[in-house]
Amino acid sequence: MKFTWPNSANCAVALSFEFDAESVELGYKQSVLGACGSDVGGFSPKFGVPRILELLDQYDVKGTFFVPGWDAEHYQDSIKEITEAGHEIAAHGYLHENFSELTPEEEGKIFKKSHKILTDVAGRPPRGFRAAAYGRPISPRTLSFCLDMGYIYDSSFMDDDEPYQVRIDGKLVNMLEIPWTWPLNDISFMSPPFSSGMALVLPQRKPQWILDLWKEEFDSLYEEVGFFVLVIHPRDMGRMSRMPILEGMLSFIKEYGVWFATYTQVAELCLKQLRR
Amino acid sequence: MEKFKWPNEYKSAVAFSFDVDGCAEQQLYEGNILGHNSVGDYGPKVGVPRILDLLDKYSLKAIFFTPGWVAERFPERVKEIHDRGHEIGAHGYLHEVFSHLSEIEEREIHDRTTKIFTDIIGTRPRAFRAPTSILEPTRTLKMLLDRGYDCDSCSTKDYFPSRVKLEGKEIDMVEIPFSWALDDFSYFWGGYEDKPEPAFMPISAPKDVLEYWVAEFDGVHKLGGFFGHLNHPRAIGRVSRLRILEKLIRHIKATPDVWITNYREIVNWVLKKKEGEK
Repeated sequence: MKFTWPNSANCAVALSFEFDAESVELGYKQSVLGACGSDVGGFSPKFGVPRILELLDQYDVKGTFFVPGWDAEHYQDSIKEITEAGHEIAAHGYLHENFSELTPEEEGKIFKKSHKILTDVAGRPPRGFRAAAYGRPISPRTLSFCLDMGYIYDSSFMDDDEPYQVRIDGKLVNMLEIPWTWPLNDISFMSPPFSSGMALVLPQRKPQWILDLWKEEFDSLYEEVGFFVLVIHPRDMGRMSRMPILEGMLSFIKEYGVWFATYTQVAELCLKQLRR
Repeated sequence: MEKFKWPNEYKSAVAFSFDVDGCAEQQLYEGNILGHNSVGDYGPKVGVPRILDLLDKYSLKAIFFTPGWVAERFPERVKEIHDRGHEIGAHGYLHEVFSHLSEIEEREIHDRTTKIFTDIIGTRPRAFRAPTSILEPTRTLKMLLDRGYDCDSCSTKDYFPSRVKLEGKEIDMVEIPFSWALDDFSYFWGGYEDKPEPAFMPISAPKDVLEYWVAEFDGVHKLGGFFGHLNHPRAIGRVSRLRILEKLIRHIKATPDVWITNYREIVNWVLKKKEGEK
């Protein structure tokens, strides 16, 4: 356990949500007019996000929403609702891009454009970024762009259980990596069979099965690492049969007395401790 | 059913192997280890130290097959594995599929990886597992033999170790088999392993996997065979999963007459047998 959490909590818990409305399919150059269900992104702001906001409110927990710029432009009320409820908005590309396929100019433009949109819509600038495009790599420049935008965290890597300080060209910078992992990403267990350009065919798992797995993961990380993150897609988790998984986790975790934090709170605290 | 004779009247044998693949495949096929591609680093960075502690707790010695490129990236970790009494095995340079390589390319990889490990740990590696367990049979075995290797571990068809046959003749090299059923990747890797072929593997619950492994061990023990367990630190290295590995170890330790050993001991045992002896 590398970090000390507020109120002597044994574990920090950061819940992240990928807003992912139609930007995902648009980014894959698909029609979002309903063909083959590729309009599914619209479910996120319409049902998924409101249900999640209600649940978070009920448990008095603040989360972090990674929002593609296009989605923020087109669902401004939804973004305002998220920020007014005290949650964090963070950057996630414009059209859920795979940055490793872009030129430096294109990537830079997307960073600036999305940053401005999120700042305007949410009323304050985002402080961090997570790469989009379902696990495709970032570019060698992405972390530098994040730093240029003034971000204090990235959440695109999968090489650790707990946060660590980012290095760019071997040099430590004032930015924290807050990694994630597939077993704690809802899409591993509930991805649609013909999903946008991802070509992934994973078996669906029963809600109770997912809840049991996440409880097992939480128990082990609570005891030996002290850091726990979930990656939730409102378009997937927001279904009625699945929302009980998230609710089950919240009521389970609440029993432990953890520090629920947004990504910015984690980043500020960890960077402060790393500087000592 | 043939009987295999283990030393000291042991009924069956167990040895643990770990493939420390790191980000080698991501580097090879994607050309970078950024973002999602960093997932392999979890193995040497987070998984291996936990595994070493677990092995120490139960006084076990294992073998860690490591691509040369991963060893160059994490030399201290490789040294630590060696210093804590485990064997380092060769596993390609960038986890190449050997059957896709030319003879010259393959030779270069064997020479390069052998030198990398010799430089880090001071002794030549003697065991080899082909990445993705695909080798170019005669060619690879000859190259290994020429470089002083005496152990190969790519076969999945047997419950017993055996002397390797090269062009019909038994040579001073031992094949130690493993099993996909005992490979953590079959259960834990998840759906996004892209290259060389897309593989979509579901993520299982640790407690379910423990059930499979215990059943498999009980069967192998009854048969008198070798329990060839293969784990990848980037997959098994999660706390939740090491907990079931620990339960498996406890189950094995609680079973009488099991030779809980390591690759080196098995190689020595098989090489001591006379030609044709079971």
